[in-house]
Amino acid sequence: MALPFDRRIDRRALLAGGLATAAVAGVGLTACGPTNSGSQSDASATGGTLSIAMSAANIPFPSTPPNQGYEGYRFVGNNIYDALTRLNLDQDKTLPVPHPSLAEKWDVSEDLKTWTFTLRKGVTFHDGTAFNADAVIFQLDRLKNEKFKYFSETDAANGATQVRYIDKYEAVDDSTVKITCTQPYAWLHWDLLHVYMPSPAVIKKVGNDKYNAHATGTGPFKMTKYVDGETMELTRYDKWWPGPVKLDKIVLYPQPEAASRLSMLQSGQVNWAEVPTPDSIDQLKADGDQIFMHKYPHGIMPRFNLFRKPFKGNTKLRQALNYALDRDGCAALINNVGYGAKQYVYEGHPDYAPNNPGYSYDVAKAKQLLSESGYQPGELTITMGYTTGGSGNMFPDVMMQKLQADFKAIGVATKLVPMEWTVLISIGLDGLNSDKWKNLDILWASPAAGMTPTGYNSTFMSKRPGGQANATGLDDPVIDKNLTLAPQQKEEKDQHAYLQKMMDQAVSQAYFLFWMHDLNLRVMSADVKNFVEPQSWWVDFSKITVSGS
Amino acid sequence: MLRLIIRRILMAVPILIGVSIIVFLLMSVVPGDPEAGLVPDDATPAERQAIRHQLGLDQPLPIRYFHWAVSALHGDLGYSTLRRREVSDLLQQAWGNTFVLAAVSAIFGIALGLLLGYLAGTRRGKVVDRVVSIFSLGGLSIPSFFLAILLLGVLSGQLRLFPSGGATFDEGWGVAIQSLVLPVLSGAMITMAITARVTRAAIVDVFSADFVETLRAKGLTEFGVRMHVLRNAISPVLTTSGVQIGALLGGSVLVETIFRWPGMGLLLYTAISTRDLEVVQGTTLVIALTFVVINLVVDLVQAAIDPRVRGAVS
Amino acid sequence: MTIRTQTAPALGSVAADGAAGPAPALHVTDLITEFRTRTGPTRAVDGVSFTVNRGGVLLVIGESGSGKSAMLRSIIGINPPTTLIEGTIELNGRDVLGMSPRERRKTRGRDISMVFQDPLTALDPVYTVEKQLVETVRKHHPGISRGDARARALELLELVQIPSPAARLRAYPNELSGGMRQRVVIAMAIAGKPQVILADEPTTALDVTVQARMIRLFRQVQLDVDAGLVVVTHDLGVAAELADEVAVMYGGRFVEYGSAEQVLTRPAHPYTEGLIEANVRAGQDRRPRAIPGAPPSLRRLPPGCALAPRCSYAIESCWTQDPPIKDVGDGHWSRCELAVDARPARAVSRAS
Repeated sequence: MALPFDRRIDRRALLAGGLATAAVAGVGLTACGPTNSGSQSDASATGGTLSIAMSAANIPFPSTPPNQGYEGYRFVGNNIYDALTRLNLDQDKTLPVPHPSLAEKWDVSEDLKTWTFTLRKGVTFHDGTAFNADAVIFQLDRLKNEKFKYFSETDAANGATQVRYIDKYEAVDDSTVKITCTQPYAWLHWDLLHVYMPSPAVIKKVGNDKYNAHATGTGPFKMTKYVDGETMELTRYDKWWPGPVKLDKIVLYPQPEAASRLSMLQSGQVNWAEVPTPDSIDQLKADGDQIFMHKYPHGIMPRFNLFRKPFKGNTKLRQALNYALDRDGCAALINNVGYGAKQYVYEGHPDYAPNNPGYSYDVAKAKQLLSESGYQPGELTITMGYTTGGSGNMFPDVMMQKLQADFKAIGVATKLVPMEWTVLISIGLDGLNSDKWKNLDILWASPAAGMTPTGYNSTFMSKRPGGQANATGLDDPVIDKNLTLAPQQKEEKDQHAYLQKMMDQAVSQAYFLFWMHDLNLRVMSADVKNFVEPQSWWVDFSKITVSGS
Repeated sequence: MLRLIIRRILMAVPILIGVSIIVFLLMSVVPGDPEAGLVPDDATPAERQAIRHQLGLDQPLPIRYFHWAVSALHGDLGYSTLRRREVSDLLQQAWGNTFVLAAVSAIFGIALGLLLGYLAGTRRGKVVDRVVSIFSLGGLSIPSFFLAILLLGVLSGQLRLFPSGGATFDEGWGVAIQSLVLPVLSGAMITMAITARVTRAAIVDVFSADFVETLRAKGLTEFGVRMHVLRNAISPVLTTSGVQIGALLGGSVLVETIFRWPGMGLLLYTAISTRDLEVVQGTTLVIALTFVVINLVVDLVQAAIDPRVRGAVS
Repeated sequence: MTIRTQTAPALGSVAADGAAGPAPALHVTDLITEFRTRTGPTRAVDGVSFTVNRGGVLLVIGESGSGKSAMLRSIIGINPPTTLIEGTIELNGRDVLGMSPRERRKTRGRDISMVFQDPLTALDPVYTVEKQLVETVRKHHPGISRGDARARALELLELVQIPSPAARLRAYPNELSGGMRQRVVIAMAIAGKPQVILADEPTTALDVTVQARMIRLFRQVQLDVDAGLVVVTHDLGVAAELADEVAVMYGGRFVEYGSAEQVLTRPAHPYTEGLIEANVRAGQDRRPRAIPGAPPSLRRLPPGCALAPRCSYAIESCWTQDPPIKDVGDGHWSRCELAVDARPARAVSRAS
């Protein structure tokens, strides 16, 4: 049986041990039992139960796609569902890339516009119905075809990015699907990572509105319990096509409070906690817990407002601020759960520009560039909007105070405008040239920098598909050219070469504040085994076991 | 009595309408849009517009309010696209969770507050009085989230005496009761402190009333005198208790967040931060209604126990 | 019936002469009441002695702050526990100061009871008249049945002449007029058939039209239960109507004592003179307010006569020495010689 169960027994022993507090509080000592319904008898034969304290404020929807950002994909989507492709998350050496999943293989036409997917045979959904080409078409219709009976407005809106380059799709036969793109596009298999395949039979039965309560995919786990706002239980699906995973169960709890996640881990309620407070690391190590930190595509890269002065057309000013940042000092403040960024992506990432040193911490140079940019110390006050919360934003309050001090050291005053996560997202949609937001000079950004090549679009590209202007007014022909050419290359190394050129330009022109990379801090109790920490927001659960000690 | 109840409920109608209009206006004024949680960050204007249309956000404000109000009058509080659930369904779940927590917190906090206030009030100036004063001042001054994190860190994290929260009752009453301990302790602290202070003040106040001398002069035992005093002191205590229960039923965001207790406070907080208008409206309506009902109950109880109030109420 | 009230000044020179009759209902000797306050002790009563027999009425007059109420509370024993009380208080010949708190409490209501100034606040507002009366009755008749207690309560209300008493029993205090409430308070005071009733300004809070009736009721009820009555007031009208004997209190001491007739028509102390004059001038209101100056702070009594700063007769020695007792005759005495000696001159000056 899983550890949380055993720890509960420990706790009960403690209680029965006569701790007076409990008795005073009037707690029924005998009434407390295991919370998990798993059977204890066959403990040795199974992989145990993994209980996870997520940083999300709610259980992500088990919809296709899920919500709550990549936490939804990480814990819910990838476990309940398969997509046509899946990242190789079971290694930590390289950036994970798409591998065959429900699609056994695929062929891309010479012009990179037509993709033909050969589907895996014999795959069944959790409800027993068969996965086939119709199921793929069904899901694409749900996301793209407004006239389709089961078209889902909400899923279509949420998943628009992932089907944006899809023009036409058809089932060639029962196990072959042909997708035509709107333009030469070598990254469709990246997009399709996110397009999960739900059971058409279930959707036809319960409808889109009630689907969440009945989520059914082909993935490694079945959803066996879902209480919105409270918990979700995922149980191993023994007929998962690669063979069953080790774990019996995964139990998810939402907990946006870092201190509470920590207590949940310490009290044995969970054996996996996302992002505990950085200052708890030493204590956790002393307790024998496993601390995980690993570089992955996530950074804090604030964006300059390039629609207007002072940053529009003033490369030296942007460079000056980049030189002013004491990144190591900032990392120290957050107990080194992150590290200073040289570029938008981390060193070692395939898109990292090899011959660009980026910006060091150089106050003298910063001051000199500030002066050359036309501003004397004390002349410039900039307004920076940042979010105070939302998972994946590291530790904004501490970091912003440091940034303010760093800028002050070169004679630039910073007015901090804290805002809710929703507002920050709204600004991204409205653009910094809209009336509501044009007072902001710099905007906090926490991109999954380089997790997928498609992700660069929204922040780098000026001429974006669909016609929306870049939110910060970044409009650089070199960047646009390289970002346009990259997905038109058949070979991955050629794609990366263009993306490196794009990075090189973005760094040289200092279009962002290249600030911090996150190290993806998470903690697990000692009994969680075989966890591999990939260079990704997503993780692989298939090999993990939880051993009773 | 019946007429009083009906009149008070009718009086609540304009309050509820006013609250809903104010909330509606406030929600439309704050920056940030509901669709931010529904579209990807590279959404095109057309995609954004489509979802706004689906949410009805492209309608003028008065019409949106009118639609909402008409539905609400028919008992339909709408559908939360952001939560993909009926608002009434969300409210039911949240109110149930908060009710359990509030009821236990109120009983615990008010009972303990009464006891402490009584001890302090009847032993004015003595050690007990000082201890209670410090204790209740502390209870008022310590922010509940700080207390919650402290309790969580020590009693749950370090000593592992109690689970760190969670409100799922399908895991059995034993677990549920255990889960209640820490949130109740943190939530009831303020209630206890306020009740203790009000009780003490009321008792001290009543003790200085003339009739206490009458009681003593006619030879009542000190216990007999205290019973009279307590009965007289109950009225202001009841009033504050009503407010406290109302506040507890509104749910505490911090306590609910820290202890993973998805009640009204958390529901409202999440709804506000995601600009989930339907849920914000529904939640505030229920909270306002709760206050109205509790005030009515307090007034009725007060009239039942205090003849001086009776005249004023009816 | 013996209606005799005796008193002695603090110096103790006058002894009770009623020794031949029954034991006096209340015999107080050299009573000192001192409150402990943060700024030091405050002597509210400073050596008061007197005797009240059953059926007798002693009236104590004086301004607010002269120690009258403190004296009553000391006698019945409801001052704050920290109060220092010295001297002797004998109730029916039993020394109450030597009793255990429990024994002392048992005397309250049964041997001695008290009627308070403000009937509006003297009753517990949240209980019915019946509850409060029944509670009192049962207190003094342990083992009495509820029904009997209720019957007795009704009887008490009849005794104090409350109209339709059965209906009043069910009423809450706030549903009764001031006069009726005072009758209820009186009923409660006589419920235990005490030998002594103390009354602290029993008519002050009442409407003028009710006052006279209330005084008569008081008198009658007192005679009915054959109790000694000590009434504290600053209302000389009450004094004239009710009292056998009158004591004038100032600065915690009795400064003049005698029969009502003696004290009120031939005052022998400058303070009494002042009170009477003030009453005459105040007319309807009958409140003494024309004596120049204010009563002394009991916390820091001046040496010599406490009245000296306000007294028109005052001579050099008044400021430094306790004035001697002047025996005016027939049990009438004053703590001042000057007023009596100066009377002819004063009469002249008034005539002119």
